[in-house]
Amino acid sequence: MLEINEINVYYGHIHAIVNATLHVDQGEIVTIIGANGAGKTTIQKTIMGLLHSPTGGITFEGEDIANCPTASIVGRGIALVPEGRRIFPRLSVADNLVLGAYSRKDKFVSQDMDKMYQLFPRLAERRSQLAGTLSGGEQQMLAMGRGLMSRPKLLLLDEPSMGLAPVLVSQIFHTITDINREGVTILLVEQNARRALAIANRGYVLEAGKVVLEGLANELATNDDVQKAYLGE
Amino acid sequence: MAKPALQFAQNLAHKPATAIILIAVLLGFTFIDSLDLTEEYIFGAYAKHILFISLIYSVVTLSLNFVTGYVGQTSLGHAAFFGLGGYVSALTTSLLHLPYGVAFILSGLVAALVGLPLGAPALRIKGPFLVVVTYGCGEVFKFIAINLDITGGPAGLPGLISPTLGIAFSDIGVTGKEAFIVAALILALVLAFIMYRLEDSRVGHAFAAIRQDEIAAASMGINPAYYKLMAFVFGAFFAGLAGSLFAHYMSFISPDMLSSNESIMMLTMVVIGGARSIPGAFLGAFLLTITPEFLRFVKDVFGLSYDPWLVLFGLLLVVMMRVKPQGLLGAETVFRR
Repeated sequence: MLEINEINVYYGHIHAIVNATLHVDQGEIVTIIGANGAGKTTIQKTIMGLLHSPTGGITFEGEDIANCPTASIVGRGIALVPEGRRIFPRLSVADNLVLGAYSRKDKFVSQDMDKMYQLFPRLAERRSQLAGTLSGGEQQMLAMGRGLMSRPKLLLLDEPSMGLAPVLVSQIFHTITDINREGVTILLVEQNARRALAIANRGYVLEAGKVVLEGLANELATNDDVQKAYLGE
Repeated sequence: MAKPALQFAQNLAHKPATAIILIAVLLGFTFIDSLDLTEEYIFGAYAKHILFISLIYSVVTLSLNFVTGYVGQTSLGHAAFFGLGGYVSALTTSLLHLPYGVAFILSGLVAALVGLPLGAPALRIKGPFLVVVTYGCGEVFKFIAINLDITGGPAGLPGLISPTLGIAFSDIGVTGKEAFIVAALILALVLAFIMYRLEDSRVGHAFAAIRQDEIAAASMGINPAYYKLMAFVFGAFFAGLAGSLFAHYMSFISPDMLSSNESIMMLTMVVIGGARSIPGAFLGAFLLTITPEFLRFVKDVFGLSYDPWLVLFGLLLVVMMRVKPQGLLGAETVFRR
């Protein structure tokens, strides 16, 4: 579904992503794990067209998207739930969801909003509240709901568990599995490697911008190096 | 005690009934002398001059609010569009001898067209950098006007025709300013209405998203560059129209209209009134037009050797930034702290 082939991304003189190649197949949950600054977020931003790679290519459903503007990438069915949620704090919960459907022109937006309220009942209670007044967990739910409002085929999640209480972390990971079961393919970036590998089909390990390891999630979870570096065992 | 009072004033200012009453008062002010009730004029030409200037700056403040308020781009070069509109209109009527209506529309269109390439750098830079670039652009315009022959050089262009609608604007009413006041009021109201309708529209939502988080907005499929340019061009268009009306009211235009002082004053009106508040834009424009005029009397009465306005202006800015950085009627700050 998504093929990333030998991309390189630079921030000025810093070589943030080095010859990264990875792919995501239809229906999968794929996770990218790695330390702070390994380049996980950079890869997601590059997929969205927010950053660009001078080399290699990115294709989505067989079409080259490497040089597409972000708006057209969203239109093709990829949505990003960014790191730190990045909800619009001074808009209401409902308006945040409406903006998630910005790229759509069909009539089913309000229907999908009801679906989001079913998926995240807390958001329904707070629909007219300013998003900035929500708790961290609620903001994460809103960010995910907003991402889903574009009806993506592929959802990119960047550190959805960041800064959340353990109970909420479990809830968020449950929801991710639910969303995947509904047919949305997921590329999950996480520092919480244990949790991520538990729900993923496959995983990539990123170190200093390089893919150093890849494989089935359960194999990675039992890999000695991964255990030492990311699972603390 | 000050807080609830201010809250009350804020709520009152945003009610439609308030707007209707204020418009009625303004029109009454404008036309009471035409009724010929008393021996002498009740308000006279000077007061009406101040009213017209306040209304023109209201249009300019609203148009700058579009750029600074809606997409959060601080511009210190807005006077360039105001002046450009004036010059385009002056040259269209005096050199090409076209009717004022054509000149008026043309002044807006040219300002918008010039705003397009000038808006482009605004897509790449933000904050202090954008302030410096817009300031520089404004200065360039001033020096072009000073050095070209066609614009009359530093002396400017005198003898601009009065706009006509059957009869010349300057022949209507007892002071010749009444028709200009009504025209400025209509322009301000049209712009205010567009902005009011925009707030809850798809475009308005996109503006809000870009202002609050550009990366998140882009991730939603909103093209920030497109909307930023749109705001810039739209703001330039209305500033150009206001400039045209202003120049023909004065019947004279000079490079002073393009000065950076003008731009700074326009931005101050936005900030004092409150970003994105439509009544706030009017309040900022009226306050900063009327106060210096009033203080001129204070200076004369007390025989001061300095202009108290500049002292008060500085003080006002400092106090505002301390106690109400979001402006008198604004809900949130223009500048992030």
